[in-house]
Amino acid sequence: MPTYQKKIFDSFKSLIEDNKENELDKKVLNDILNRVIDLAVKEDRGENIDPNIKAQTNNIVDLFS
Amino acid sequence: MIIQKVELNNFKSYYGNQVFNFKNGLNIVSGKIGTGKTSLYEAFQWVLLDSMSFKDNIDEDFILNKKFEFESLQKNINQIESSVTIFVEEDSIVYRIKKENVYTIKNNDCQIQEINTSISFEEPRTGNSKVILDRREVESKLDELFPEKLRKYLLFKGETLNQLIDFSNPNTLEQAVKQISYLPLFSRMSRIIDDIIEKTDRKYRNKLQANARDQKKSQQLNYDLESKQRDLTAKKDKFKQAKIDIEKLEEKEKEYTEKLSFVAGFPDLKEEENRLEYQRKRAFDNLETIDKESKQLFINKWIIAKSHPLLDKAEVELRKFISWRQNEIAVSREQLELGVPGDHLIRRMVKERKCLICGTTEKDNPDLIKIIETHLDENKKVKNLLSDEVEDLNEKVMDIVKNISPIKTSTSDIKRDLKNHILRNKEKEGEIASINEALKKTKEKIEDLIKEKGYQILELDPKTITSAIQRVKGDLATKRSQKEFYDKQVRGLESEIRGLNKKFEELVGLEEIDVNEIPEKKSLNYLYEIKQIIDKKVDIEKNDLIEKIENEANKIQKSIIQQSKDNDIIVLYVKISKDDYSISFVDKDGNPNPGHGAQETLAKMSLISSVLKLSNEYKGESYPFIVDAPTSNFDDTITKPFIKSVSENFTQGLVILKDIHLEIDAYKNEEFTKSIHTIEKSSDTPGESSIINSYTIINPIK
Repeated sequence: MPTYQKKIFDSFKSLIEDNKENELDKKVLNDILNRVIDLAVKEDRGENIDPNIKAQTNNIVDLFS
Repeated sequence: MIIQKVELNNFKSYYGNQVFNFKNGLNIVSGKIGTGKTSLYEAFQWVLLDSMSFKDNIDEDFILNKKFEFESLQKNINQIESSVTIFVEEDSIVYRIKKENVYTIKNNDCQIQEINTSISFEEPRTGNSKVILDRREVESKLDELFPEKLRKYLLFKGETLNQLIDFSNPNTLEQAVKQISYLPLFSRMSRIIDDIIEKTDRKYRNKLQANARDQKKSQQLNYDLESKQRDLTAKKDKFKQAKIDIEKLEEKEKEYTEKLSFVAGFPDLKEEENRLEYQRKRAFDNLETIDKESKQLFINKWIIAKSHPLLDKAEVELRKFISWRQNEIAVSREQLELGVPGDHLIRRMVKERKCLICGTTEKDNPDLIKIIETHLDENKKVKNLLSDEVEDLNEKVMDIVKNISPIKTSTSDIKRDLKNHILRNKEKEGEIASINEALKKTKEKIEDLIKEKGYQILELDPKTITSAIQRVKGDLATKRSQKEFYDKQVRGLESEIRGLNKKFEELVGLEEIDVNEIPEKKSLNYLYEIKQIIDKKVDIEKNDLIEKIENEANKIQKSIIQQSKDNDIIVLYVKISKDDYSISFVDKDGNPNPGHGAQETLAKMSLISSVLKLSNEYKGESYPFIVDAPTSNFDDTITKPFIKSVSENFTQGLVILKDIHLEIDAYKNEEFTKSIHTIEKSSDTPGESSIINSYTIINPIK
């Protein structure tokens, strides 16, 4: 993960920690957050987003199948 | 990012190719009024703002150096250029941002042919030189180097400070805050989550539908729901867009209305200025005509003055010649040429009865008297001849003298004319001086008004503003009715969707399945949680940032005031509304205190410093701070501490300052000043200074 993205991701850490005690929940939330940050950063930079990555990010439900 | 240097090539008062080299840290450029300080600021403005379609335009006609233009016209050169190149270093790459005006000269007239902006640099990977010429690419690169939302904080004139930090317009600060923070990124994340929620929710409904007892009905319901959802999303987007448009239009309307109220008393002054400018031009034209005539008179006077002694001498010589000739005649009366006796001799010969020429006496020759009579006849003949010659000579001399007199008279006429011309010249100069004085006063009044409000003079045309307001009002009315329309539709659709959802849930019989076991439902629960976390983060971030800006601005003020040792100045504590970013100032007890003069300026400058400093801390991005006359409101006790604070808060500061020549050594010895340039006006003709013979000289002092 690029430093810039990691910095943003880390800034959410305490909020997730405060919100959840369950490690699995934390892991899921972090995973979703990570995907969303990645997509937002790419969009922000005007980068072309691979449709597969977009589909994957949208398909959060995969995490639970 | 660092600005390494600026090359000015026949730009405004900078003649030829002139360079300012800047360093990391604080750079000062100082000079007296009219030496070219603002021209330097305008060079940055011209390249970095104007090329980005900013409204703060510089009149292109005044870009080209007039001395260079004049010389080019004299030399009949066909094509000339005026340019500014800014060398910017970012991530070890040096970008050369060049803007140039190309002019063609035809029929003694100089016209702009084209305006080009380019950015050249060396590709870090390949080492190849790359030149960006396409306007859109240039703008995009410039925006990358100098972000648009921060640009007005990075590059501004002291006199526009009030416009920049406007209490009544929170938008400017909001834009800056968004630029320096991750808030826009968080909003984007929130929107992405919304999208995912919508898609996941659709899948969830599809799964539920699969369990429905009445498949056909539920299918129809689901279809209706999706269609309504799509419709709702589209209407919401339109509503949101209308809201954004309205905000922008309202902001514009406010800006124009403020401008219009500001210019209410302004047209008179502008008209007065134009009238005086016209009068001055006329007076200069007259002066030029008088000057030309005077020159001709001087030439005439000079020729006559030089020929005058010659004429006098000629007259004297002629007179001498005549008297010599008369003498000759007198002598000839005694002894005439060719043996012809003069009157006197004849009288003696008759008296003595003897020819005094040949010595014959009456005794020797009884016809002596006859001989003498013959002599007398000859004498008469010669005398007549001489008289004619003398008369002729006299006539000629008279002619010459007659011709000399009018020449002498015309000399005195010329002298008189010349005297009159000189008087008229002085009168005109007096007239011009009084016009200049009146013009100066009018300009000062205009400047004061502009300083007070911070608007650019070129933008202030009441007619244009009024028609712009009318246009904006019309657009606003349309957008407001659109917004109302979409709002009603959104509310209607939401209510319809709620009803359909209820029906759908009844139909699929939720009681028969454990929805929490459906993966989509699980996902939705997490997604809603993430959405909440992001929204919370936005609030925290915004509040935190506002507090940091306030604290930093107050800290900067305190530090400057402490160093200034001026007990009359107090800290104006900055308060920023967390709801709408509006700014207010309070005293230490929390009472509102908008401040005035230097104090207000200091508070606002501290606010700007604070925003830009946080940008550096937040995203690790640093920008040069370029400001013209930021301290015009300050007295000397605050100027230096303020400049020092710029050096502390910015990686690089380019501060264009009022004349500091009296304290130049003190500034030079300060560690925080990394470079000092003074500028002055020089002229080709010492003592005379006009637009075509004067130019700016740069003196690197440190």
